Amino acid sequence: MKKLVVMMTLALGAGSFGVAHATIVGSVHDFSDNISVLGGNVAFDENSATGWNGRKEICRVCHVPHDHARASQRYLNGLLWNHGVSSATYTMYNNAWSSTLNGTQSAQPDGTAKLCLGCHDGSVGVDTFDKYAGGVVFANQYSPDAKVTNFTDGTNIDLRGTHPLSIQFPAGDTQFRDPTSATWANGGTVASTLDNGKVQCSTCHDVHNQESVAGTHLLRTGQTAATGTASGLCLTCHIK
Amino acid sequence: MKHRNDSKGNQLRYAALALLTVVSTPLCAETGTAQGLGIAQPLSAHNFVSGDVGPIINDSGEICRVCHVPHDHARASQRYLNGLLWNHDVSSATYTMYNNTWSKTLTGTQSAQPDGHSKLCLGCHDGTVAMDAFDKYVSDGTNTMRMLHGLTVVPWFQDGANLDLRGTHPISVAFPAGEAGDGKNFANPATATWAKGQTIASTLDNGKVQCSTCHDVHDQESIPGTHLLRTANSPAEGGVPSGLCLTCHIK
Ligand code: HEC
Ligand code: HEC
Ligand code: HEC
Ligand code: HEC
Ligand code: HEC
Ligand code: HEC
Ligand code: HEC
Ligand code: HEC
Repeated sequence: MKKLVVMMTLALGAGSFGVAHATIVGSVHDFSDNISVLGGNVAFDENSATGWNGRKEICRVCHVPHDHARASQRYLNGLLWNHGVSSATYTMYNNAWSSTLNGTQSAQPDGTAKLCLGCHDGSVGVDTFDKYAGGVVFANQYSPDAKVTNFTDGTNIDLRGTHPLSIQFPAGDTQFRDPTSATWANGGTVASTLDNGKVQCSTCHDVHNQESVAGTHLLRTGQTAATGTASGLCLTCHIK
Repeated sequence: MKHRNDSKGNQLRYAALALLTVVSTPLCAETGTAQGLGIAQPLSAHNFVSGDVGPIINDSGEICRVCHVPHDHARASQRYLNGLLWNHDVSSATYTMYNNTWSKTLTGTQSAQPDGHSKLCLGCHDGTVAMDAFDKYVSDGTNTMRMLHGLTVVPWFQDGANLDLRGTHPISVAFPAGEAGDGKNFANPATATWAKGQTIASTLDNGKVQCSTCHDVHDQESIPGTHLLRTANSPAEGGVPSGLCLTCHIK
């Protein structure tokens, strides 16, 4: 069934770069197949013999309709969040690191970036959700690329190797396109993908694989001729 | 005998149901017409004639009366003003809402506080109101849902003091204008259907998503083996992964 969906979405996506019309079903963030690891190189049996996501729901790994009254109060992260978040303190790509960085920035990643880092900094298990303590399956076990570059061991939480996060467009900076009129490949504005006015992981990537371009790493605009234009994503915001 | 222990109670209910519907369920499951128990069935969650909660809170011997009454009793509380001939106390709590202040991406028109059907459910499920505060009885502060059955209070309403709805799916909220049926954000409530065939629109309350949009309190249009859900949300419940969520959200 899942394979079928994948094939269908690939077929749909193949024709046009613009709008992929794919969904989260069968995508990298659909864990309802309940397998521990791609390639199966880690033995797994934490919550039950059936794997780490035995209920085989999709959204529940990240969202839940009613918080389960646990001390962790994950819902306070917003969006009915149901997954562990990282307690790491990151070395930021900030104005101290780069004096030419002018946009207003949060001291640490916040908003939706904090949600992604709950898996992608490599310090919290993908299986840490709902009532489960988890900590057996990590993002890098799905694919070696899944940790944000430079987050190679979960202790190296250095964000200076990642595009600045939780940052606003610098006020009045003519080096940038106007986010209210600049658009991604699907026609949506850049502004609509800012989180409280800030650039986050979700500004460039669509975790639900819906507004992203097929054949990319869930990017909202392609970066190559095969998926769009050369560095099309970067040039959506930067005038260079 | 209705057991109050959550999982055991459910297992019992489902076991009984399996016996009742052993022939029809597999056939129905495919077409999505599997049916709830019906509130008149002793094992149904809101039948307070039987079970352990029933005898404590309800000596009327009636099912509907705990919530509805055919003629209001002209009491000062005027519960009927909540609509649907309501006969149960409602909560006077002020809730912290899951609203646009909390989440900027929430754009549907929303009531300032839970209203309509949600207010009726919260009259028991926020854990502050006595379960037996119906008909001529007033709440004496005892026999709240929390006291009787802490686990079924809506999660995080464990103590009746924490009236925080930010851990519950947004309620008393309309589909955002222009997004219903746009093929990108939401299915069209007028045509998208729950497992038993009703349209989403028919389960909205004045056009808004309420508790009753996802759950059927009368256990009639709900799927057996779920928490009174109108569509199963997992393969284990006989549905597709996150089938309930994906009935409305396009993701
Ligand atoms: C791997 C984690 C993950 C899964 C699985 C997931 N989401 Fe999300 N979701 C997020 C994150 C992170 C955000 C915030 C960033 C964003 O909006 O892109 C979000 C935002 C949302 C939003 C609010 C913003 C918007 O895009 O409308 C809704 C609604 C939502 N998700 C629904 C769902 C539903 C329904 C499912 C299941 C079909 C689902 N999500 C599965 C991580 C996830
Ligand atoms: C529940 C854990 C979890 C959360 C939360 C999560 N991811 Fe992922 N993500 C993963 C895993 C695991 C993989 C690798 C899956 C695979 O390779 O099969 C992945 C893969 C990816 C990829 C690579 C996709 C590709 O096609 O190469 C991107 C990009 C990505 N995630 C971005 C995000 C963003 C952005 C967010 C937040 C908006 C997010 N993720 C939230 C677990 C998560
Ligand atoms: C400014 C845009 C932008 C932001 C912000 C951004 N990314 Fe990416 N990301 C990209 C691009 C472009 C790629 C593709 C890189 C490549 O092909 O080498 C990518 C690749 C990835 C991958 C695939 C793995 C890899 O290294 O190839 C993951 C996972 C990922 N990003 C996660 C994240 C997470 C998590 C965040 C937030 C902490 C984030 N991204 C923030 C643009 C962005
Ligand atoms: C969503 C819009 C957006 C996209 C897409 C985007 N950027 Fe950025 N970028 C920004 C913002 C905003 C800043 C912060 C600028 C500031 O504060 O001065 C920034 C900062 C940077 C910086 C640091 C500048 C400094 O002064 O230290 C570099 C380098 C950069 N971006 C490169 C890229 C590249 C390469 C890509 C494509 C992979 C990309 N950006 C995609 C918005 C974007
Ligand atoms: C535990 C409380 C409760 C009990 C017991 C209950 N109801 Fe209801 N009823 C509600 C609520 C709440 C609504 C509004 C939400 C909805 O329609 O799902 C409602 C709505 C209704 C409606 C109008 C909407 C519709 O679904 O047709 C009728 C008629 C009704 N109930 C009849 C009955 C009858 C008859 C009984 C007894 C056999 C009964 N109810 C028992 C709570 C209850
Ligand atoms: C008169 C008080 C009362 C009202 C009003 C009420 N409930 Fe309940 N509800 C209960 C009690 C008590 C239980 C626990 C019954 C049990 O476990 O046997 C319960 C259980 C539930 C359950 C869990 C069922 C299960 O099988 O796990 C759901 C879901 C639920 N109610 C939803 C609702 C909704 C939705 C409404 C409004 C439309 C509502 N309730 C109105 C008292 C009430
Ligand atoms: C968007 C759909 C949706 C809405 C709206 C909603 N619920 Fe639920 N509810 C669910 C789902 C799905 C579950 C099953 C959750 C699970 O399995 O963890 C559930 C579970 C429950 C339970 C069982 C609790 C448990 O954890 O065992 C109760 C009681 C309940 N809901 C009551 C309510 C009440 C009262 C409201 C309104 C204030 C409400 N629900 C609004 C979808 C919804
Ligand atoms: C009856 C239709 C319906 C169902 C079923 C439903 N939702 Fe929603 N959901 C909505 C509506 C309407 C909103 C409000 C959207 C808005 O105002 O922007 C919403 C909002 C949300 C939000 C908050 C979005 C934000 O921007 O803050 C999340 C997260 C979410 N839903 C997740 C889920 C999940 C997970 C499920 C399954 C358990 C689910 N929903 C089931 C209709 C539904």
